[in-house]
Amino acid sequence: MKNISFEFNGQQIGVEAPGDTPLLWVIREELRATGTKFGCGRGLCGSCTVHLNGQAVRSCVMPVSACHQQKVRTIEDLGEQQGHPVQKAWVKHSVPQCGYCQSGQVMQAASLLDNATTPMTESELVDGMSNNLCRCGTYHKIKDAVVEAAKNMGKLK
Amino acid sequence: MSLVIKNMSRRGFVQTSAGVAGFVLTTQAEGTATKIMAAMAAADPNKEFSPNVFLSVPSKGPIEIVCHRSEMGQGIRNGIPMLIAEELEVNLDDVKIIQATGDKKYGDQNTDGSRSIRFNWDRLRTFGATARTMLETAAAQTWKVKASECYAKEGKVYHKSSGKSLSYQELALVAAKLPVPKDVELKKPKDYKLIGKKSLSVDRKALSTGQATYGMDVERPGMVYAALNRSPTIGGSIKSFDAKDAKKQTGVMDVVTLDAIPQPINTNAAVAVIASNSWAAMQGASKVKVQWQDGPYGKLDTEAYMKKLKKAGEPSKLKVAQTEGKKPSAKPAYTVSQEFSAPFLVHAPMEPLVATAAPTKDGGMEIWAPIQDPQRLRASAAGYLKIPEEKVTVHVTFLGGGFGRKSQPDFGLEAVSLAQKLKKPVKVVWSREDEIKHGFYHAASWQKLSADLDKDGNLLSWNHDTVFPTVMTVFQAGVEKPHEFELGMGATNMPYRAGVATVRHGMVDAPVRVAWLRAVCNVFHATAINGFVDELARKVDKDPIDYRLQLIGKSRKLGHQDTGRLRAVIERCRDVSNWASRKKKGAKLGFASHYSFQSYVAVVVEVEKDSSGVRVKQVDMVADVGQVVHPEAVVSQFQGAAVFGLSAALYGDIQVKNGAVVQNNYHDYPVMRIDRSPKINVDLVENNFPPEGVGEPGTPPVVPAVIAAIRELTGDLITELPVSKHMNA
Repeated sequence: MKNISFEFNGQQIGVEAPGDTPLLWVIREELRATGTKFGCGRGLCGSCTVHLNGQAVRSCVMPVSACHQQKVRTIEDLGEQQGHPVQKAWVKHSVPQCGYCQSGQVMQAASLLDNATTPMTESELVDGMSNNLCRCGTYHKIKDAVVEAAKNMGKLK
Repeated sequence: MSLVIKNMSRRGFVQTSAGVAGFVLTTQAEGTATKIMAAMAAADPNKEFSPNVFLSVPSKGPIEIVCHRSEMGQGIRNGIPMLIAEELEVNLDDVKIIQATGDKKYGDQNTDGSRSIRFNWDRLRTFGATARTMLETAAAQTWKVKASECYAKEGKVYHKSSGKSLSYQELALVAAKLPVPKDVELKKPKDYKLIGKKSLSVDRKALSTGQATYGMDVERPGMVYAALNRSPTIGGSIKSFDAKDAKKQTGVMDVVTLDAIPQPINTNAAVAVIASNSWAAMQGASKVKVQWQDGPYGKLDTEAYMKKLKKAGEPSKLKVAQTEGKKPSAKPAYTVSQEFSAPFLVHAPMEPLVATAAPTKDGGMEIWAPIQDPQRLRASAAGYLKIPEEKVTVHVTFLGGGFGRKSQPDFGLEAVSLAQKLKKPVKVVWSREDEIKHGFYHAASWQKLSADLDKDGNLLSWNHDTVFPTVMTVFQAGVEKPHEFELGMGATNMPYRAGVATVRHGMVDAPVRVAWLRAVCNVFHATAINGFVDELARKVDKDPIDYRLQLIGKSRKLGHQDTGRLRAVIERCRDVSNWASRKKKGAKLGFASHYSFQSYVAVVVEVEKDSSGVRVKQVDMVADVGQVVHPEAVVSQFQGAAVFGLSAALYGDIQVKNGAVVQNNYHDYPVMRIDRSPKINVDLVENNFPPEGVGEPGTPPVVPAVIAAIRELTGDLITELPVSKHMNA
């Protein structure tokens, strides 16, 4: 067991867990923030995407020990603000079908656009979303929403 | 020829064998209005107006409408309330939508077969109209005016001449004491305010902000987590196990065995590791050393099984399911035949299976699950626990995808049996590997089509042989004969005119658990029939769309199917896709059409080659689903169905070697990603036929259409799925 502390959605927290426990399960079952989803457990589907120091990571394969003294942000924090252009675009386009993958999609898109230093083309945006699976096949709307968010953030080439 | 269509429900029969005695799977009937009225909730007329179990108007606070079907992405939490709200005259934004628990008082709740709307269209509108009529009467009585002088609008009743109004809440306790009228008038389509109008999902914000509660998110006080070590080979049983290493895992609390439960519940034996969190449970489960005893399919090999299907398709072994017409005496100009085969498929919804069960103080059980069929889970749990159904409550969470898999009660029963054993709340969490390797699979199939043609390509004879393990094995082990409804998914209701048309089926065992997957047998039947018709068109050198129209000929009714409506979607798809001009410019286009779940769909797919292989560039779909209730959801369902069909066509392949499923996770059971996903145009025919199926009918024609397009690209007809077996995609 290890004592690990990190900033979680703006708050300093400490957890005691085996260091190899994936961040996903700490977030979901210790911190009780269930917006981040379990999909594959192998970093293949992106349902568990969160931000580590502002970068999208797959929390299902991220050992919690690697987050010690780092900043972790989940969909709940992005959602709290109701202000992120990605989330606004998602709601406007009514992207979700079942919605299970959408926390991960939103976190991936937010990281992609927040970190873009130069404007991106549509095809770069699509490539940036290509590791997030949606079995319902909402890709059409995901593309529309991410393009609109990019435009609103002045990051569409 | 006139084909006979058995227009029966998938679950339209009573199951009394194996496992749970006397357990009624479901009834076909949705329950008549009278029956539902009789089953009216014990509403207190001093507090609320609730003329039926689907809606309640309290004297204070928001109006409540019940959604009795499960939400798995198809938007039913919009569609069902919309039917009531339209007639009740309220906005969906102003009502609270209550998700029903599994309970017969709602009529059938099995959310599958693309029938939630079509089976509830009349009765739910009637319930809404009944309540509205009673509220109008209540206002008339209050004002001492004639009811005909009052009208309802947006949650209020107005008096025409004076303009005064009372809210539904203000009228609730007056209305609650009125007799329920027998006949009420439904709106005319031209007066619809919600049905068929543009609106966005009521859940779009919750689903975009991580606020919805799925089965995976359920938490109960004192709950423990369970992960299961399952037999690596199909249907193995436990000889012995060593849990020493598992118990060393931090967080592991207990290790217990689960016995197999036979059909119709159909779970396999497993060793369950109980822990304080999901991760510890999964780690623990992987560390249990189990000695397994192979089951009868412990050495199963799907390559050999595919050969077995073909062997079961030899003429001497086939049974005639249907034959219509008489063979014309004309000598055929051409005789053509073609075989097709398709593998087992798995659902792979983004949310793996999961269920939570908690024993109640009165000896009952409370269950929370992402379940498509809460009544079947309730009945299964009650049967298993030998307690009355009334003591079992099934809460339906949001489903992270379903596609048919979550109709099965197995994962719920795993939680129930563990909760019973441990006497505390237990959540059973499946890993993705569990889901892929221990599924209820879409049937593998082998088919052969043969036809005699005259020189113009008219069908003198048509013969369709179809061999696949039947989904009836879900309910009863050992069934080898496919059910009529399975053959009616494309084969016995084939729309083309022929001198004589025969459908024969094989008799074959189900070596794995077989169940429904989006559109079921329609997928492989549509694939083989469309592929074969393309082959025939080439034989007589005709455009595949023109040729289909020729074979359909004059419109006729085949059971519910109106071939005139099929013809219309084919023609419209030809036109909106610019079929002829794009072909002329060299686009590699494939076409297919199919009738299923009472809807008519035609599809054009365009493919091209890029550095990664075959790429699907564009899909144009035209659908006639009758009255469109929620256009946004219908378009999304067809786009999603196209992606689902493309995943199946290009990649879908579950193989078994040495008794074990080969595939593990999304890396070796790939599904389509956004960078390979095409542009998808969906065009809906507008009409006022009653609403028909939406969730499934988009999938079947997409598979043959992409195969036809690939044939244009490469010159070769793929007759063995998936495409990735033959080329990169």
